[in-house]
Amino acid sequence: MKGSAMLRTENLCKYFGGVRALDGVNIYVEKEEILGIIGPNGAGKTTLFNVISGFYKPTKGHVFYMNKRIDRLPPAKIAKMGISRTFQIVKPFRDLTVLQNVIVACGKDYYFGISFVKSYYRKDIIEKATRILEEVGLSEYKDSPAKVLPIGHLRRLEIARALALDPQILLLDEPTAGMSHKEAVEIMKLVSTLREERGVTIMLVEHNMKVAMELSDRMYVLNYGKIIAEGPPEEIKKNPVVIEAYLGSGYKVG
Amino acid sequence: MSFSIDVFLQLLLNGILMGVIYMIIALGLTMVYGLLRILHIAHAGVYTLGAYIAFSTYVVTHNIFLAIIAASIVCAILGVIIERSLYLPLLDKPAYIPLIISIAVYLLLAEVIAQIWGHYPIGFHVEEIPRESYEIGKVMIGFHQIIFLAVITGFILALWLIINKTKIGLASRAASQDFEMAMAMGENVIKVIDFNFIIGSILAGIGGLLVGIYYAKVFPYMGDIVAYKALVVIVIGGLGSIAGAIIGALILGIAETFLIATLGYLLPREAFAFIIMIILLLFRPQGLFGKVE
Amino acid sequence: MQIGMYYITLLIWILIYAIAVMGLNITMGYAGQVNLGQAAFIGIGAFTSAILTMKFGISFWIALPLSGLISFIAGMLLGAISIRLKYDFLAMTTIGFNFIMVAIFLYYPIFGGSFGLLGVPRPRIFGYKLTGVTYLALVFVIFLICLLVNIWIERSWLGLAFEAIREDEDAAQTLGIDVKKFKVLAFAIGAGMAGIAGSLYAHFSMRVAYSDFTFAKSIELLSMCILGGLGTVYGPIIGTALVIILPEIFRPLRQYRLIMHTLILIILLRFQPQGLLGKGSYLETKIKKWIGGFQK
Repeated sequence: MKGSAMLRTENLCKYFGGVRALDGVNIYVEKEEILGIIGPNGAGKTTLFNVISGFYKPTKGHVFYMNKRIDRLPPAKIAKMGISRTFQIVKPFRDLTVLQNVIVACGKDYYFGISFVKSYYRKDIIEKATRILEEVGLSEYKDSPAKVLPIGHLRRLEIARALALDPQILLLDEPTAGMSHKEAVEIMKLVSTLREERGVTIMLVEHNMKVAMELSDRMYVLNYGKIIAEGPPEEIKKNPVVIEAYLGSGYKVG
Repeated sequence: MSFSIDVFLQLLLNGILMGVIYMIIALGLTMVYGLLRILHIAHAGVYTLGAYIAFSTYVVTHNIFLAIIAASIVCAILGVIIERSLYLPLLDKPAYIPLIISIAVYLLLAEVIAQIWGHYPIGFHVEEIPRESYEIGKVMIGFHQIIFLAVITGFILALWLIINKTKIGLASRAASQDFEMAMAMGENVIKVIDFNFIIGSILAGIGGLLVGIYYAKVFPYMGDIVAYKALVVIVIGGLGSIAGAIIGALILGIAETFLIATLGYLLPREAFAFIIMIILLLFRPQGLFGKVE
Repeated sequence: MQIGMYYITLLIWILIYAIAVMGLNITMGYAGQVNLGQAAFIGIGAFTSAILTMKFGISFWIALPLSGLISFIAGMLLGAISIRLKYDFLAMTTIGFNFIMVAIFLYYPIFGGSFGLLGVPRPRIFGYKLTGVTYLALVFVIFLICLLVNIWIERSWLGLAFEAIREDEDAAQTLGIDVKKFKVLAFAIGAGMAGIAGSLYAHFSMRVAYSDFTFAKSIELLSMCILGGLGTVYGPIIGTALVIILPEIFRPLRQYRLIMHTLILIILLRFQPQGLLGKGSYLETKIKKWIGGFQK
């Protein structure tokens, strides 16, 4: 089973001074799976994404992507290999247009070496970016600067940029945070369509339990940097260890 | 490099004296930076103006205390004007905008001073402070240097008390820890910022006065070197840390004095402070006392 | 003739400075990397060119590109040092760089001390000495080349990567942009243009001294750039022209030149921080409307 995994971690640890944000995490995700990662605040979910995407070097342990070690590679390399991510706190290029935001992400083959001397204003590139904007439902805003978009649209823009990298794995960090229920439902629809139409593997960190349960095929529960449970959503819902962890921090499960 | 103990002590003393000059400017800079995240280069203009106001007051009244009071008042007002009219309205703009405004204000102040008082240095002698020197062992120390050290130490202790014991001092410390939170809490923050500019500017004005007396002259560009070196000090100290500024100033003053004494033939002396800063930043990009984000 | 010469000289200075300001605009306007030491790079180019031609007898036509190259390398070094630094630490490092370079120019005899190097030769082409109009033609050609490079950068992946880094480094990294490499490039290209400007400067004024490349000069360059509008193609050129021409028009006020210059900068930054032609500025909005009206 683990041999066929798209991505797996091996005894992954990340310490900040005395704080063990990740403490021996072993997880894997299979092709075309939607994997949910949940846990109370400060459980280490975002740290996990930061280590996988290369922003942090792990203190101990490794990350393997298609059986190649990728920990210690810089973020740009990892992105080029096919792992793209979104941020919990959106990071749009505020003064660029929505279309330009996506075009930036279409250039992964040009930023290496010196092919960056070529023009980016090309028909095929613009078509690709426009197509992706249609896919996430932002095409009507393509010429406005990103800074005028409301938060819900900015999250879509994050996803659009991540898609422009033609990823194998998409890491979504709380894609519905700060959204109304209606907006959240739309994002959920978008995420499941992406998997069906693009066959992309998705890892989803969520604070919103409902969203995570509904979308995920399989889930991990992270608490104090450790995996405390694994399984399909129905099982997680009933798992006493999980309920305990969430009750302890004042959240309701399901 | 080996020195005799006397030379060593003399260099140490000179280094400390340089250090306290940097310190009195750096304190105001770091207070402003701690709150607004602005490199307040115009502070050097406040310092220069303080020296000139004190000089003119002294020439007219022959009373050093009146000179101190006049310099303090003018500098405090100027500080608050800069803060209210230029910095506060630009807080949400990219950081280079207040930075360049601040540099322009400094250049403007220096030029205005040069137009009023002339471009050349003017002698500044205070009768109450005789220029005698004492020899302790083989170390020379001037009476004016002792006064200088004593007054600055006094001011720094007073500052320490104000920040740690008064309500507004504590509020300003809290605000510098989490400025956005403090901003959200309301208009008292403006008072806290005013307070910081007033205290910092008074320190700068008195610093200008003391340095003017120390070197027995004032000149329009006296802020140049001090300003940039005080910036080096707060960068070394980690930007925004008061303890960092005090220790950074002493480190820079002493390190510079010893480096010039030993390697002075290799590189020009004006370059040392910046070289020290750049080498430090290579190993600690957040400064000595700065926090890693 | 005399008056003609005056305008030619003025134009030459504008074009030379515009090249350096364009370079600064690439580092700061496009890539968002604050650089308060651009004058030092002009100095590096100017001294390189002066020393190569005067002490080694190398032709101007070789010294010119070499000056650009040496400044380019110096820019790479400053960029590499600055990679890990956050905004204000970076600003201070570039200020420090400027002070260190000026101190070096003043201290080591090869740079001619406080008098500088006198008698930098005018360039010759087939034995014909370039002065006046012919020098203007030379400067203009090089200015055009730099402008084309600037326009090309704006339309290439390079420029797009710069802008992405300016807007958000983390996001740029996750989209496959090697932030370190592009930051170093942004400094190097900006410095390289300054180096070219420095060479043209040296062979025009025929004297190179440390006092032309101080921190105050860097601020002047920056004010040219900001006045026109950071991050635009033509803004910095217009800004350069304005900063040089205005004091010439108000000659009687010459004594107060620095006061005027700093006051304008303060007022402009306070009320129109994006510059005259920057995005969302008063003029830019007007011009857009005007063009829009035409298209209808």
